[in-house]
Amino acid sequence: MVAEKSPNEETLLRGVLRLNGKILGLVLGILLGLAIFIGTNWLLIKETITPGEKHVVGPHLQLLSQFLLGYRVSFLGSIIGFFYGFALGTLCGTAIGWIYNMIVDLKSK
Amino acid sequence: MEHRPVVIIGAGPAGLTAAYILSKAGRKSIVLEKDQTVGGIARTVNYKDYHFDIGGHRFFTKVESVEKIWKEVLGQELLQRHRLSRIYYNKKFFYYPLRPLNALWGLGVWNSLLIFCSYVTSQLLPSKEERTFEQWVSNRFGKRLFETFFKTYTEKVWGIACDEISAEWAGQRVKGLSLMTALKNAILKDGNGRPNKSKVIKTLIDEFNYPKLGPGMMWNAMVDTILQNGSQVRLGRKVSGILWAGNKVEALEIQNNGQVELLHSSHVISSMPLREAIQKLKPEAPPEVLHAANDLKYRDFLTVALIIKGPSLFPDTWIYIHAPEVKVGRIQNFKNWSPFMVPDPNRTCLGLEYFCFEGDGLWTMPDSALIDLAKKELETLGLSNEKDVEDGTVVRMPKAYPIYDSTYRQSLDVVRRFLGRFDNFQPVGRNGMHKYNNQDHSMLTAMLSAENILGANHDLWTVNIEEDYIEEVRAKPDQETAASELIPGIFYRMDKFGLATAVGSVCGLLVFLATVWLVMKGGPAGAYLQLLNQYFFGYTVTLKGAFIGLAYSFFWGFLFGWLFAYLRNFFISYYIYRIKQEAELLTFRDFLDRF
Repeated sequence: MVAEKSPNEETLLRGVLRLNGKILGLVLGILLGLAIFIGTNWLLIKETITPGEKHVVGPHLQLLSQFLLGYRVSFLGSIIGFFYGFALGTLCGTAIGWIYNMIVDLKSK
Repeated sequence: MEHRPVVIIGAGPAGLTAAYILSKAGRKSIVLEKDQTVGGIARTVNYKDYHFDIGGHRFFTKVESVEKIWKEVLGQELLQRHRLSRIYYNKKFFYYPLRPLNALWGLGVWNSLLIFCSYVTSQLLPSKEERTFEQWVSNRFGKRLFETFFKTYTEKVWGIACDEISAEWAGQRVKGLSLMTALKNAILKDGNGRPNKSKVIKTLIDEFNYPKLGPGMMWNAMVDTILQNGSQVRLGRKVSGILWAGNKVEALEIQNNGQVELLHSSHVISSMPLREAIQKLKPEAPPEVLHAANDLKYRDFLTVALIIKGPSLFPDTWIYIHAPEVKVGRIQNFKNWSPFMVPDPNRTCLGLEYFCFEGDGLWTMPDSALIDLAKKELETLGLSNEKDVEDGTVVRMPKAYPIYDSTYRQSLDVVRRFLGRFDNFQPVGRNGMHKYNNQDHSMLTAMLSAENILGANHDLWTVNIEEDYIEEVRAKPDQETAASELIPGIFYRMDKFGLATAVGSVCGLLVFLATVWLVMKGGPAGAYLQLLNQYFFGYTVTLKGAFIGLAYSFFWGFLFGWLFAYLRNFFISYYIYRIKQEAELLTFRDFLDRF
């Protein structure tokens, strides 16, 4: 057979991807943190541009405070939400990476 | 011994480059050339002011030092030319790599359909055995395309049936771009920060430099510099003996007009065919070395240059003639290499190239018969009328290509081992090393040999002849190393079960914890979380519901994770497949160029 694969190529085609839990955690953390931060501020900006009758801004998002103590739909709340989201995302990403790598290791043994 | 000159055998690109480098370093040399002209197989012939090249020599290299010499020697005389070289088959031109519409138009719908079916069959049910060139190409392009485009041409060039050429040989010729390199090219920027790899590759293949009046201009200019620096170039000198003793070549026996002259040298750089060099050793080389040298074979070729009425016959620089009804293998259109090659704007000069063996029917045919044959074939191909051909001439080029047959490597190793004993003898160039070197690599071996004489310690045999014209994107070295380490990580397969379980577990746990939290704490959010039961039947914000939610979330998370990994692997595989196909197609074009 001619089409011999180089060792590098062989590794490339047979290798199994391993996740970097820290990076995955960081990425998910930033994404979730930003989602809460932007989601909160979006409601605040919308309210400023088109003020309606006096009512609670973002009543549904406000419910997050049930889980994220200290969070509210305000600018300060959006920063608090960012940190909560970042922490949760980091935790989830790291957990996904850790579980995934553990399974890959177990299967390769 | 150092006061003796360096003697260089052969005034082709390799021999002259060695002399050029030495002369610039102040070292005297004598170049011996058996013909009355310089340039070797890269010479330019001048026939009634029509210049033509033997085989077509593009000046394109990725060896910076060689490019520097070209620019140093010719400067502004080096033109930048666009390449167009198509396959000519069935009186139609085909681009290579094949373009779907062009192929469809040229081959007809029915034939194209059959080729497509044959290609699909070869992909689904490839021949398990890949022993021959025929099987190798058919497995990649389909049997029908092989028979249409590759069989005739390959057999014309090598004079051997495709099922007798080893697949190993084909693999060697096409291995220029590895998958890793192709992937690196695909994701890296080149040294100049150019991001588009396909553009880079295309440009490098499709453009080249060419001296205004052909490659001979380069060699003549080099000779001028060599002579100005006090070295000599002696034409019409045939080396008839290489005298050696112990681990040194002592002198060369030279024939000149029937007289024999002895030339002592400090070093010898030889670009004469390796077989001949061994045959000329005095005393004789050991029998096993002689036997191995005699096993090294060459393919010869001849060019019939025709001067034809008409300003332009076709736009290609050269065309590959795959048509089986004619013997011609390739046609060079010299005016398209450089407009200065043809003195009359209303004439065209074509070079019809015939591949043959020294002494066979074609080789021994009289020039007039060869010119008649070329005229007839040109008309058969529909490229010109016989009556439009005004003049013609023939140039025979022996030992144009070293043949890589099944035994050459073993024989070459024996010869190399024997030559390794000499301290002051260095074989260089294509025939000198029996290596399929292109012009630039031949020059590189010569440059290194000259540097060795000046004190360096290069191993000439490591000059990479497999570096192909399919240029790798030149990344910065640190970027290159990083890429080599990074690439496997990017393209590895993702474990579907692993990701599915990980995502499922995290999702399940999130819903479970959120539910338990609300059960313990209470509050208005519970009613909203309860809405999950629209999807998770039976879910409630209770302790029991937390477990139900965990199971549901795990299930959906698992499914999402699995699907994500599956799609990611699928698209990555497809990407790798495309990159590999593209690399193979591009290297295959280079494969045709190698002939």
